[in-house]
Amino acid sequence: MSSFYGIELGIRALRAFQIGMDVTGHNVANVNTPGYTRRRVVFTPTPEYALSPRLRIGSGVMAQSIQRLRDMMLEQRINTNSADLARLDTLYQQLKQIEGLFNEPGELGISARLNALFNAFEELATRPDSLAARQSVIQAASALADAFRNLHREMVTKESQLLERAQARITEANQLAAQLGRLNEQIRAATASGAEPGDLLDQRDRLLTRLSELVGARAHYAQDGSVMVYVDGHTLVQDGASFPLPTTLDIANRSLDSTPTDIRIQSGELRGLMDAIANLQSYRTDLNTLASTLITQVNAIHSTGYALDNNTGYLFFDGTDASNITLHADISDPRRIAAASVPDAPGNGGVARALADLRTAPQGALGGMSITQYYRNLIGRVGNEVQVSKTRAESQQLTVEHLHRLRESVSGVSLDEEAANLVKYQRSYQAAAKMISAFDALLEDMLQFVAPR
Amino acid sequence: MRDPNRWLSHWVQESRRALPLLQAWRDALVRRDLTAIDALHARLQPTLQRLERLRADMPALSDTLSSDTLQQALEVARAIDEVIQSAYDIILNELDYTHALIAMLTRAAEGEHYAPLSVPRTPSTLLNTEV
Repeated sequence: MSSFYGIELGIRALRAFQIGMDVTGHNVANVNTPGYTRRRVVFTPTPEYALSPRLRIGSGVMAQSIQRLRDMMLEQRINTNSADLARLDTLYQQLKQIEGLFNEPGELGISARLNALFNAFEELATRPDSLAARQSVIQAASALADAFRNLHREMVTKESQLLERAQARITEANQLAAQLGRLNEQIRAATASGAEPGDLLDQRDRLLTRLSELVGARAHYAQDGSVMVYVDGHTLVQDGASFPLPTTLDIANRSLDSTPTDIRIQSGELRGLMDAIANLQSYRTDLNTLASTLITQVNAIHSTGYALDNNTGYLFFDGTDASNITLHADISDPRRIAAASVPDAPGNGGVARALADLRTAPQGALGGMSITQYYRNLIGRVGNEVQVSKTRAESQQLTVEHLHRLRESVSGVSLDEEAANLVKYQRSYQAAAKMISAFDALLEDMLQFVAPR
Repeated sequence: MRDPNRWLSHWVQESRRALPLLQAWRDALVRRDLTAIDALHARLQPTLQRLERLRADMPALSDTLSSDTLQQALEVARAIDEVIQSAYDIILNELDYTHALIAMLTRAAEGEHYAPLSVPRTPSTLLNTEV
């Protein structure tokens, strides 16, 4: 009693399952592709066929759609947390490099050179008429001025590198936004035709993740399949259009200059770079304050002293801050170092002593700290900020890893899981086949019973 | 020996009870709804056992069968046959399908074979259907 009906139904099921096989093949082929989202075929029965008003029979199965197994809430959390991680990690990496500029602790660092200068002043205080002691003061002061200028120059170079990098990140974000706009159009067209363009959506998700990492962009998904991307109040992508981010940075406010309101950058590498630049500027300001105080205080004391040529009013340092501190031309000759507090007293080291005492003397311009304390405090602050940013980046890394594992459990392809599912289906359908045999045997006997009539 | 007409009426009665369950079971096979398949499978077992008992008690051939009962028996038998025939096709397809997929997965588990990030060591990408 087999019929064409059964054959058609079988062919339909076979076609549907072949789609399933293609999809599983696609999943398996992409098991190692980063950002790939597992697909699943949704099977649905085709309309029933009425044998009689009371007897209806199913007509088979069709593949209704191919779903991407994606948890959108999880995706948003991953993007937000990845943007935070990009910020913290960028800040940590940059601060680590900035910390390296200070060369502390080390013989080439400002700390060692400050001590060397104050030691030389002390030596001069005990042997004011010694040319060797005077030469030592000049060497130590010159080395210290060099260290200030070098550090300042390296800071300026680093800052300009960071600014360039920040600009590059904005440019990259703008390019990605343009790509995203084009993808939006393609996805919308495909969605309108009823298909789910899985690979385009994967590509878009990868772009979105990168945009989040760059500038902390956020996404809003529309019903027509397109996505709107924004940074703070600025719409970066809408439908097929992209609206580039401005490239003028306002580091103090961590924003990009824009009309009518500035675009505040909350996270992403760009924010990490802005934070690093702000820190660097603050360290540079402190360094300048220190150098400026040193110049002012040393000159104020030195100019009151008497040199071996019995003249007074000589300046020790020239310049205004760390960028241009040098030895003053007045002391190009070591005998012009004014060590004595009174004239005609080459054995007097009163001014040299006062200069040596600057090591521990509190300074109003430095918030009541001494010159050496202030510098130690600056180094401590740099080290502490590196450590804090490291801890925060590591902790954020754990959060992001956890979220990625969650995503992997939803969207990732697990060969074991696919195989386990298939074995489950196989067992169930094998059991079903046994029942078919039982009914078939029953029917055969019954038909033999009624057949002769 | 039981009356053949009474026996056939019993058979028609049991088979009519089985038919909607069989249809629902076949539709669950179509949907690949494992939970429904297993549940309906369990519900069909008592009916199947009763039909097996009836089969064991089948009377000897008789010329006195009521044509009305006979007609009913043929109708329900035809309906059951169609259901189990279509279910059979579906089951065969499903087993073919899972068989091929398991073969594919077994091969995929061999690291470099399907991994697009590594270059396959052999040029063969033929599907091995042995599991």
